[in-house]
Amino acid sequence: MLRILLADDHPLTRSGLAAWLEEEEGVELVGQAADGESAWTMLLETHPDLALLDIEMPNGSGIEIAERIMKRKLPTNVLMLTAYSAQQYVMASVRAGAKGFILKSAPFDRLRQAIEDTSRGIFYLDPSVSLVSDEAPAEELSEREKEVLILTAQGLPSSETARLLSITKRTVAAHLTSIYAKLGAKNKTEAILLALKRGIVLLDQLRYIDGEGTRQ
Amino acid sequence: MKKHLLLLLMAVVTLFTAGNFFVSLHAFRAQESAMDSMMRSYVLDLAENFSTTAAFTGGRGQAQRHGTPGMMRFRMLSADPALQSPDAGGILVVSKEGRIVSASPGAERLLPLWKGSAPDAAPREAVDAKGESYYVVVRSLDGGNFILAAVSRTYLLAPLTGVWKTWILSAMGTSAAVLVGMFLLWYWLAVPLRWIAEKLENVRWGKERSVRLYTGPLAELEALSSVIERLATESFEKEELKKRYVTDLVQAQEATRGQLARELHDGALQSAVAAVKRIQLAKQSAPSDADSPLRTHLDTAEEVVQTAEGEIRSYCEALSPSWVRLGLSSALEEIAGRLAQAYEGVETDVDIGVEIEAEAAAFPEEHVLALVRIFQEAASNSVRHGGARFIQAELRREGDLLRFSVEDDGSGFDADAYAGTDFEELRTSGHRGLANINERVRLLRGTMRIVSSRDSGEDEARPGEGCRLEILFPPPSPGERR
Repeated sequence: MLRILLADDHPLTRSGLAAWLEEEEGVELVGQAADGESAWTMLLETHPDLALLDIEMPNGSGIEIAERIMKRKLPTNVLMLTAYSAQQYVMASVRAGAKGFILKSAPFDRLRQAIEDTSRGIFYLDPSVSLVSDEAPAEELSEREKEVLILTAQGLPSSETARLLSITKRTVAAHLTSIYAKLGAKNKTEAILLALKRGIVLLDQLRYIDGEGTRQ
Repeated sequence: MKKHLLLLLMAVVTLFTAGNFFVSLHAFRAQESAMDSMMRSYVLDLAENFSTTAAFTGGRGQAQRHGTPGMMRFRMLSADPALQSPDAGGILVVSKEGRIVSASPGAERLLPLWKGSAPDAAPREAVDAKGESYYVVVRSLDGGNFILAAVSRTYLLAPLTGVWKTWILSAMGTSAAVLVGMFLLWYWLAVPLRWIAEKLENVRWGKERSVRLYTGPLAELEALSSVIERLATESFEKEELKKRYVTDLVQAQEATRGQLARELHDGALQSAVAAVKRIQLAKQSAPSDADSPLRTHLDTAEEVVQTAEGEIRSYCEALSPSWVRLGLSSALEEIAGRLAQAYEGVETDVDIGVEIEAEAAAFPEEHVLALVRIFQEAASNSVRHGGARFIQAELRREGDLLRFSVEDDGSGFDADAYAGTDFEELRTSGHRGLANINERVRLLRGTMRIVSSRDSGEDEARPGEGCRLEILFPPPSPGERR
């Protein structure tokens, strides 16, 4: 049984989702929260396997809760559930340690898929988050390119990335251009999201604490 | 001509006065020399007259015998003005040993002017013991005696010379005074007036709070300049008021849009999402028969509500993007991605990058939104007007300030054409984009400039032309954080 905590401040959406979760096989709804604080309290009490968190909530957003889970190293996986489709919400969620990102209006079979992927540690990204070339076959990235992509994904400016890898800013830019071409991405965010979707980069490599990249 | 009336007037007066001065100076000199020759010829005449008369009236023997030769001759000469008063001059007959043989009345005291036994070729000037100046001439008489005639310089022609001199000197003095006056008029009035005019020409009305036009001794100019200074201050304050009004307007507009977006998001959007969820639930409980009318209706309903949800979301985005809440870095990345997507395939692909080198985590939403709008506007300008294919936004710390720049590789921008242009004018002249940017810059309390790498020669500048928009603004203070 997969134990799930649901947090959403909108009562109708919450009860709709709860009704579905209660009917679903293999999952157990252990709590429903209407704001960030009560979600956190319930999380500490119930230790769910998965937290379905709305991003925008009073008294603490889903992103803040995800960060707290990551910092406390709690065993709960986070699936972000939101009405926002902006790429940067995905990036913020990923940096906060969320394993999946799905839109609230997604059909239930997609939600089911997201819950399954996320609880198995596979990154799930809602197909409605528009990416340029989702299906394009990706070339292999070199090790150096992966390093550049990971540091960039952590939110470091290119000067910092260059310093950490002992290369010049121009080389960083050249690597990024090559990465975009190989992944078929238009920009930094897309490159990161595509790399995550395809498993080229792992979520754990993008941990983001206090606005600074933590490097292993 | 009329333009330089003051200078012309001054030049004419100066010229004529200077002429008068030199003419007077010349008259003074001429008069001096005329007097001099008059006196010389006078004293010579006196001496010559006496010696001729002496030769005519008696032999040398008689003169020696009587000891008083020529008393009669003195009497004959006594009508001469030089012999009227002892101070005016006199005639001495002196033996070659330097003894007075005879003298006109009171002339004995002129003996010190006797310098020896040689006669003078021409009259000379000499000074007696009292410091009185005389014209003196010595002639030899028959019998070895000498005659000394002396005429006082002061006494004889004093009244005449005095009047002349005073008149000429007063003319010279007047000229000098006028010249000095003209110089002062030029230095204190004409120069400051010209200076004030020059400064006035450069006054950027409404841009400077205080304009200092004149500090000097003339109360009239002081009054004039203080009136103008007050006008400048008033115009500055009016401009400020206008600016504040526009800024308030922009701020109020953003606030209203934000409010509307939040209400749409929390109300209509959430209701639509809830409705979708309910429809989806209903579909689950509906008969699994794919062709049942209930299922078809539910599918249609879901589709309709999903469309409505999408529309509401794009309204929210257009009104006030929610992702500005994620902070500056994310917001700029988001807009960069969106712009790149918007331009994709329209003409050529545009590469839009963001570099945040300064701490921007604590930026208030208002600042983030302003920078997002600036970036949006600048990037759109770069692509539409400059045909840029590469756009880079950067935030850096620069001393106590932050520098946000948007650089492109487009066809550049004639920055000089806009240098110093009032951005209010840009709006009315159809450059709405720049005017919009300027309003956001004002919200940030910053300053902006546009550098075309055509004229910058920066080492960072890419080959080709390109353009850089730079905004310097103070970091948001803790009080501004929300």
